[in-house]
Amino acid sequence: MSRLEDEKILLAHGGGGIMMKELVSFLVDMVGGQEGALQDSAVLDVPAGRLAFTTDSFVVHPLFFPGGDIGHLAVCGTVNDLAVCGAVPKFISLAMIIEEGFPVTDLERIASSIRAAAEEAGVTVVTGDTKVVDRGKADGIFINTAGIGIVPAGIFLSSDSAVEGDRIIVSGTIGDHGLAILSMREGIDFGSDLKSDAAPLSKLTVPLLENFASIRAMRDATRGGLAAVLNEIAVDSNICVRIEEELIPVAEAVRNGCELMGYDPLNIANEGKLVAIVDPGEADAVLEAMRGMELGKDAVIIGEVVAGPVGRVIMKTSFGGERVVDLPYGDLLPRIC
Amino acid sequence: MDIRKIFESKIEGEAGRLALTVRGRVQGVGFRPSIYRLAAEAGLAGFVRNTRRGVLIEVEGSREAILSFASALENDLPPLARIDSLEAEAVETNGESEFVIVESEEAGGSDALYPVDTAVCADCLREMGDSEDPRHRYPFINCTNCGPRFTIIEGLPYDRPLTTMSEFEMDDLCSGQYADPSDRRFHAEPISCPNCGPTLSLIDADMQEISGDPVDEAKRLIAAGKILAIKGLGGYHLACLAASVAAVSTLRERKKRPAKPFAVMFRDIDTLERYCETGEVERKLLLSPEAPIVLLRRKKPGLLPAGIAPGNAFTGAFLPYTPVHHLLMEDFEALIMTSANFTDEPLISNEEELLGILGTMADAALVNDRRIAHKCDDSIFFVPGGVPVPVRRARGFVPEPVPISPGADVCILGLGGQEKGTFTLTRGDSAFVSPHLGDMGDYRSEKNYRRELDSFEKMLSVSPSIIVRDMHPDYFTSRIAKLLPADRIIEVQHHHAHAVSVMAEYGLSEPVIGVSFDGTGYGGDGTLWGGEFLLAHPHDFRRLAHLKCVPLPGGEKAVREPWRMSLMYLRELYGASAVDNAPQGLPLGDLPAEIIMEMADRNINSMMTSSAGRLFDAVAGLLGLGLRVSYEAQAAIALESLALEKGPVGKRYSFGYGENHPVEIDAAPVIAGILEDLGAGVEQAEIAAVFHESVAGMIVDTAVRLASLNGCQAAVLSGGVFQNRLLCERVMELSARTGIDFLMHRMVPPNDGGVSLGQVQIAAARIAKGTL
Repeated sequence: MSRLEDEKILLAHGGGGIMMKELVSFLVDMVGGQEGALQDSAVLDVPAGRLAFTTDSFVVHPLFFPGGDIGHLAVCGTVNDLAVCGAVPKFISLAMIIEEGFPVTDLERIASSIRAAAEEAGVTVVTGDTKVVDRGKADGIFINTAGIGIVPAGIFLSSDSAVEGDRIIVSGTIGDHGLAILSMREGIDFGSDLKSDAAPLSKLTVPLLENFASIRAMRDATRGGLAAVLNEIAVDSNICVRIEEELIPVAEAVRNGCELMGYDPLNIANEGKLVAIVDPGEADAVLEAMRGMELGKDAVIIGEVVAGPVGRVIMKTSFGGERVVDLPYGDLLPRIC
Repeated sequence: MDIRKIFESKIEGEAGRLALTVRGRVQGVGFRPSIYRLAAEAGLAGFVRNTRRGVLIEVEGSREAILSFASALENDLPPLARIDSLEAEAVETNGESEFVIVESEEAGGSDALYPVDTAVCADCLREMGDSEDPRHRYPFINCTNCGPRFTIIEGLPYDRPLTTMSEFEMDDLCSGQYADPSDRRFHAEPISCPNCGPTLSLIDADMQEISGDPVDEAKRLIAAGKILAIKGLGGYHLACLAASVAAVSTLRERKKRPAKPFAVMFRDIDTLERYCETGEVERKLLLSPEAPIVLLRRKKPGLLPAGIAPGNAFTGAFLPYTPVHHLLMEDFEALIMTSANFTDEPLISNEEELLGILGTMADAALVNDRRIAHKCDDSIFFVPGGVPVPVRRARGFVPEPVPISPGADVCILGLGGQEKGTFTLTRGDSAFVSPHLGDMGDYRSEKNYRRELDSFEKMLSVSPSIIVRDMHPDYFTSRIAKLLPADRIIEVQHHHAHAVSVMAEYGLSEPVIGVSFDGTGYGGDGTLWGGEFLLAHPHDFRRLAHLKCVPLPGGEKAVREPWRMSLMYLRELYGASAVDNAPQGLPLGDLPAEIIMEMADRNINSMMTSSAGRLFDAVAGLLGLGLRVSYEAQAAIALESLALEKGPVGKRYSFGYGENHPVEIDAAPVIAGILEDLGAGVEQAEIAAVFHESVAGMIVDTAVRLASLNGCQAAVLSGGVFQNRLLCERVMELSARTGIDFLMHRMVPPNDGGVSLGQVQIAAARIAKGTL
């Protein structure tokens, strides 16, 4: 494996000379990139059928956090976008924008996380790019990944396909990622072990979709959290989603942290949790199957699709109320008069 | 209004004929039969007829007879009638000899009749008690002077076919009385009797009817400590023994309402006055046809369990207002009568909703088969310094309009705020404020809001051209604004709407100092407002002064945990060492104070706020009264209750005043004064009283100074903070000789329930100005 001589990334590493070639081949080695990842394009053999294709950029701060880092996240995020569309993730691209002066050891850590996550998810880094920008022009490192997956025949997942009676399954506890990041970034200790849940969801979705045709839609609950995903499903499918507060799994540390900070776990980002909309006939079986896998061991049916106001999400609260779960217009603003 | 004088100026000779156009509450209240009787008694000829906008009367006879009729109009109107305006005009005599009631000829109904629910009248009560009367002990007795109105109407004009009583066919007794102009029940739309009207039944938790007399059995269950759902005018109450500690605590558990006070219904005024302090104004209010809940101080020593209103010097007290209440209260001095719902959700008003609480909240239900067309809560008043101020405007007041000036040619819809929801629709110079609709974060409240809005639009035959919403982007009302059809949507600032809601009540068009003190409202400048002195015009405002901002760490969480605000004010004084300087009463050591400090330092979910409500929270917290609250203003109420134990004080803590514009009013010196007194061992009640005196003094001093700088004659007080009776009374007292009028609400609540009125008045004023 090649190594970089310097301790810090220099502007010259983006200059097009030998230093740049060294950086690139270092990275290709580190992330376990495919032979030929140095070409202008990756040329891929793909089976007949449908491709899923997605892209995402990662600008997380801090770069390293309990349960992961930006590299791990950059792979999982893109893999998850493919997975919840029913695809088997195959290839990803990797583009890095690195700030001048970024420690090479950090870059190594990130690159090896990328490698580990890609191996776990069963994807190969097939193409990439690096740029180095002036000090102060980037927050250490920004990463963009794009991904390609193969959608097996017969699988048609779409967030506009939920119908009355469908059950809503969440694959595990919510809010872990967002709160772990916040806690780390602001140096606020909630006194318990908070960890990002970032994980490649294809490990969950691929076996599920092989076995259950009754899964109508899946979404990964990232930015905006569970509330955003449920609202999108309600709007796209023109249905009403009804959930029960007491059923929603929230880790103790996350609940306490949210209580303190005045946040609602429903709005907090996740990086390894999905919401599945499942035909009621097979919902229990799907739930059992999820619970049999590590990434779905805390899965719960949190509610169902009901006849009601279309495009709305309503939560039965532990006080017996029927709270409208909506999305803030911008920042979280108190509504108490 | 001197009716006799008006008449005198119009009659020239010794005899003549006058045409009288009367407006006010003159339809559906037995007005025409009264006029018929009064005219006949005076020996006058002529007629009385309902018109679209009121009543037209023509009287012909001697000058003396006409003038005696004038006196009768001033003194002998039916109890619910009210004349707002009267125009008289001399017309040609025509030699008639009889006085008659003429049926209305105009199609399209009336613009004058907005029937409000009223308490059963003395005549009906007498008949109920008379074993010879056909309506002896009849639980649905009513007449033109009393009974259900708004809660049974499904449309206007107010006429039996458009009420839920249309489901009952009148028997001969009732139809005879209904058609007889000399009968007290002439055109009493909800008229009924045991033979033809609704019936009462008692059902158990499994919806099975309990045999025996429903009232007797209900009394038996209540006496045994059970909790009963009782169908009233606008919804169900939950009733239980007020004197039973066990029943009250069971009710708290079942309602998931740990501390918010329960209203208590007393058998009669004498009983009530053994438990609570009343004055003349309070007594009159309790006994009025509107029969609202009135917040009264409990007498000491307390005769009722403390659990009815823990940490609160006041109890909501009211008197029986339906025949069913009167029958039930025969056996009890005092019953808890609280809305059947979970807090802030809509009142339960039908049998399907009843299913949701039977067996869980209620052990049994006293039901009837008269359908409720509109959910309508009990209205609530408090009486600072002898002035009745509504805290909740609903039964007995809705749908009567509030006059606005200027009005508008187009219909304006004000959507209100988020909590304590109401909407207001205008028609001309009348503003129709909806009943209290609860917290709009709840889907059932939202549904009820939409239903009531539809129903009001139909009832008033209006469709809004202009919609007014709060600037807050996340209020439910802001979200639905764009889903409703209208030509234009405008946004108005929360505290401006508060101030203008008072201006509308008093018909003020000249600028005033708007003192809007509440919890939080969207400011529009990235901070949350709530301690505001505005130069308020009906159409516009300028922010003149406000409380200096402090962080609100954790947003709504800081509202539920007042100690966070105590910490923020300590932080103002001591910076990073705030925690070390906390007084003994505030056990910050047991609380995650360091994290809250960090949140404030790093601006994590910690918007800056000038809220006055949060200042009260902070002080309550310093005195150990506000670790966590379960209902809004709980800590402030505890602080007020504590201050009332002390009585008048002369001392004040001083506020600091900044140099900039708008002027920042700094409460940190007040906090310093409190800490100093706490350290010196001054008793807590005194500190609480001095704090109230300080805030009242600051309000008066600031408003008077700003009024003189800006050429204003008046200051208006609005926002939830002005539901603090002590504060209101101190402001009124301190302002008495300042030359500036300090005006409190009289028609709509100071809380956000009044915001929709302010919203429509702002829009109407902008139209009149040509800026909208």
